[in-house]
Amino acid sequence: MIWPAVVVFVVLFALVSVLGFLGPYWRRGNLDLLHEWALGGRQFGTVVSWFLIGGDLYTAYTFIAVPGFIFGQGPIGFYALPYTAIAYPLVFFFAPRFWTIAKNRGYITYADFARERYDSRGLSLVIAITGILATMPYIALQLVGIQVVIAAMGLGGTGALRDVPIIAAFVILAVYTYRGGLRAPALVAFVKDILIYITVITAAIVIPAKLGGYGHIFASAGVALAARPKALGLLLPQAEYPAYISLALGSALAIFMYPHNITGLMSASGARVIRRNMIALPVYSLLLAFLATFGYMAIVAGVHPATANETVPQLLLAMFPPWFAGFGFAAIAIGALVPAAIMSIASANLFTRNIYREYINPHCTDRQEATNAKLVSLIMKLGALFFVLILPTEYAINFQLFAGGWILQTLPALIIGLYTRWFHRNALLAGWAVGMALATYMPLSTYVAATKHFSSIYALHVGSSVISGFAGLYALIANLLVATILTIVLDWLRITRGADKTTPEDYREAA
Amino acid sequence: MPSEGPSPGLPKTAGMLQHKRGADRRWYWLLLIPYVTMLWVPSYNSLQPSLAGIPFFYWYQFMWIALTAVVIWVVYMLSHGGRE
Repeated sequence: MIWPAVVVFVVLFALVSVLGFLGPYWRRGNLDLLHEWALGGRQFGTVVSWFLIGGDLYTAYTFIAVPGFIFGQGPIGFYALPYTAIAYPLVFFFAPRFWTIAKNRGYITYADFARERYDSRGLSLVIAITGILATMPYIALQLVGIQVVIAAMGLGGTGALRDVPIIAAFVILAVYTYRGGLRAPALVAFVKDILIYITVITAAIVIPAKLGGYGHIFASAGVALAARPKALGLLLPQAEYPAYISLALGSALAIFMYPHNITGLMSASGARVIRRNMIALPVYSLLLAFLATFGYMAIVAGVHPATANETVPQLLLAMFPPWFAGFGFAAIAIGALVPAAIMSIASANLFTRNIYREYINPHCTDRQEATNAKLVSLIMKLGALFFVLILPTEYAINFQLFAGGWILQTLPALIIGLYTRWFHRNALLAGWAVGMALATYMPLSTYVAATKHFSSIYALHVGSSVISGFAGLYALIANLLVATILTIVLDWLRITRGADKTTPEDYREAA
Repeated sequence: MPSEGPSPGLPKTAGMLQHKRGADRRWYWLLLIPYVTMLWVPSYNSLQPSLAGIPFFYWYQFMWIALTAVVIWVVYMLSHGGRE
């Protein structure tokens, strides 16, 4: 066990736990109301939202997986740079409009919007289910992030004691989320982000200084990549262009379809706060860009992680005194708590609003609604805990790979629905079904038995040529095609469209 | 009392409403720039010109993360600036 690292880690983790428990007392509100518990009362200003949304988007797992992926696969992993940059102009465009309609009509989830806009319980239900399905493995991966750093410190012993630290972290997370709702991760996000910035900025300065500068790191990584059994370079082979482009675009379109990210946006106090945040949030993308280069630094430093996920922890241990490595590990573990809390809240909202209140207890009181959401948030996290304790880590990783394609299939109803009701509700349902089927089938068909890996890159045969691209984006294109054709057919058959409960006035921003 | 209370808020609100109607969203087209520059991969998939030893492929993308923020800021100022 690496004691200095463990001590720093435990102290910081304890500090944050206390902070999480102060959640209910910060900007007090009636936590028996769902919008207070789940959205922090829609009152967060530009600064709080920046920490909260940034802390939510850039998860612990991202910090572990991106450098690990680049360590193993080289330049293709850098698609994370365009991905996290081009997400923002899109959100700048549509999110203020969504915030406004959500505020004016009292929505807590995306599915609430689909319900009223399209007068369709079915559409609302499938959007809720897709959101919950996509979020669960994501929560599990946050716990994987905590597991990885705990293991790197040699903490947790062996046998039955092995899982004690992760269970302890889970209990802290579960209790403060239950009590404080979104206020708890909003408070923790301050600390999380400050720790992460200190770690990454320090590492981005100190490690290159030790390894001979950035120029040398890229040159050496290039040599090492070229010497591998499956030779890679510092540039993309031409055949990988479609994969790079479609991964960047598809992921950028998908990221704000995730329930936890839309929850973060809805907790803002106004459309203006969202616009301003889209200017300021790319700072996190720069941070992620530096983190991405850690993959190359690990190659040059000659660390030998057993799995890709251990790349960053092993790099920190190799390059820093143990106490600072412990600081970085705490940053990652605390970084897992913020998104995990928001994810469990967001999926609990979907279940409560769009399944419980819609199908199980339509006449529930506000208090019952909030209580139900709190309980479901616990269940979501418990499910994630079992996921990581009982099943191999590969399951969560593979599951999430599918989820990225699934969540994209809700885009036509949600983003396009904000601007036009041209699509017929049943056509959107059919498009969703086709999209989900393809987003499942395509990665399944890439299974390699030897490595037990799926791939989100699918080789699409178009005539005589093959274009290898992101399966989720292919599925989205099929989804839109089906929805378009069926809309024309259903309108021609005069199938009723239902009534739009939103009015143009609902979309208008208050001054 | 002109310096406090709700009364000075009223004309300001009315003024903002007026500006709102005039919020010029034509500038939003500029938001497409980062999509072109960052998704047109062949245009930057090269080692040269390198910057302090860092290949073009990498520093170009770093730069465009920062420039994306600048583009959004410019659009914000042109279409909403001074109004919110």
